Amino acid sequence: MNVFDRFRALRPSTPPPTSDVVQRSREQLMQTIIESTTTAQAGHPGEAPAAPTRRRARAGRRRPVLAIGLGAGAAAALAAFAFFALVLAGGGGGLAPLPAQASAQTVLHDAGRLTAATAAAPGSKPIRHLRFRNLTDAGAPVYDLYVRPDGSALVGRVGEPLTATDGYLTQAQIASLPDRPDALRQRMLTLSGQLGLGQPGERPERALYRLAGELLPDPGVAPKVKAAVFAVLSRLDLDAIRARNLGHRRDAQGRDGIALQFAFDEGAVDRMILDERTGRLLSTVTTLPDGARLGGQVHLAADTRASIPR
Amino acid sequence: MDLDDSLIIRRSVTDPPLFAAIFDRHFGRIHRYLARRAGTEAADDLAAEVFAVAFARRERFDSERGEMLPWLYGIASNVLLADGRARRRAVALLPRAWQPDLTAPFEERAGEAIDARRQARTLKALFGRLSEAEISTLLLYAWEELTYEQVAEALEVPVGTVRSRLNRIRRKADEPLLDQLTSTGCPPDEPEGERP
Repeated sequence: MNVFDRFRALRPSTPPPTSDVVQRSREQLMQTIIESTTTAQAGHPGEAPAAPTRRRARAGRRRPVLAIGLGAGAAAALAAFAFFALVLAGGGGGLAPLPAQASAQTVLHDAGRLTAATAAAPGSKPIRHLRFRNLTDAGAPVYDLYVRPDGSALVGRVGEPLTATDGYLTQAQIASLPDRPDALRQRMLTLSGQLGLGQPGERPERALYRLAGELLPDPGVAPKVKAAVFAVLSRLDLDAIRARNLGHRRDAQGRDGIALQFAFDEGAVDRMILDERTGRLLSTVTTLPDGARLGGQVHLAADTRASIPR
Repeated sequence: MDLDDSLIIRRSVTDPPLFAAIFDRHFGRIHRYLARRAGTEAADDLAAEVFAVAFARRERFDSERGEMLPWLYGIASNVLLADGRARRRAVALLPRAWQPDLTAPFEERAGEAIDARRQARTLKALFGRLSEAEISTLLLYAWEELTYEQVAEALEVPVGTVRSRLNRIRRKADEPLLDQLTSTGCPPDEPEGERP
């Protein structure tokens, strides 16, 4: 017998699911099916289309921004160059706040500009600390997270004991992030896969968006890289993911900002709220199409520290 | 290719309740795979999640790709991965379109975690440190008895990648230990509490 045949002999024998489990699971599935059917019949925004759609049929289409009348490819190249030039110049044109009524792409461009100009340089101490309100938990408690250079961490509610955890970006991974948007996009796609941020059948851009939500508040990430993260987001197929600028919204902490909304896939809506003066990410939240909140985070503070408090 | 599965999927796009037939056909097998990897109690919840995901994504299933089962295994492997990371993190840091149950305190999951750690120790003793992708490849091939092509489809990688991963795993195998375990049917004797 070969290795795998012998390894197969070690396969655990597991009982089949009980009839109760099968029945309960089937009932849950039928409830999901009924709810999806009801939603579709009600004509609710975000309903599944009646006809089968091909996967990512519009991938590759770019939105011309600065050069109306040029081919889409040239326009995208010009837009990218102009954006990057603005970022390198440290925000040329002054520090105007994020526009409440411009396109989502414009907001992302400007957020990168503001971030490059105003974000703090990465801290020099080894422990990355973030304080956030976790909207996924009942009562939306506030947590402190302390991440070590190797990606392991301690986390706990404020004032309570910390629990060990891991799976965060390492110091080496953060330090090696490129600040050129094309290279960063590739790196983010790779990292988001390694971190398990995507789900089967989802657009890969959604995993990339989730990673952006981790990089933007991280105190170890350089301002230029954060600016490039916004550039990466601005280059998504914003039409396909129904990106919208919702204008002024308050986050769960009551802070006012400019809200961008994305619908990467059917069944969930992602929203980020940005500080209009600095471009800083204030919060991310995911909701169902009917507005019911699934989860999210409100970012309260971030810094680096020499050690983890006892 | 199972034509019945693909026909059901196509029709369920406009007639959603038909999708229940997919559940009836494949729930047991997916539950068994998850139970082997994460324990029966976890499998009871995770298996339901797999079919909820599959239903939500059914329009994205390309019936010309082949059978439904490898696609379901792929979803199950990713559900496992997401659940594993959710367990390691003390809080749900990333909202999902579906909600993993993270309300149970971490210590209540210790029983399942011990079995999972024991299995992880066995795998490590036999094959050395394996990545998540290698573990999924190994178990789908050896325990679920999928073909190279089916494993490739489940994990959305080329068939060549599956072959090279299995070759690498085979070269790393501690064959004397494998023979010992096969003859005794017992996992290696290692101290409890040790991190895999």
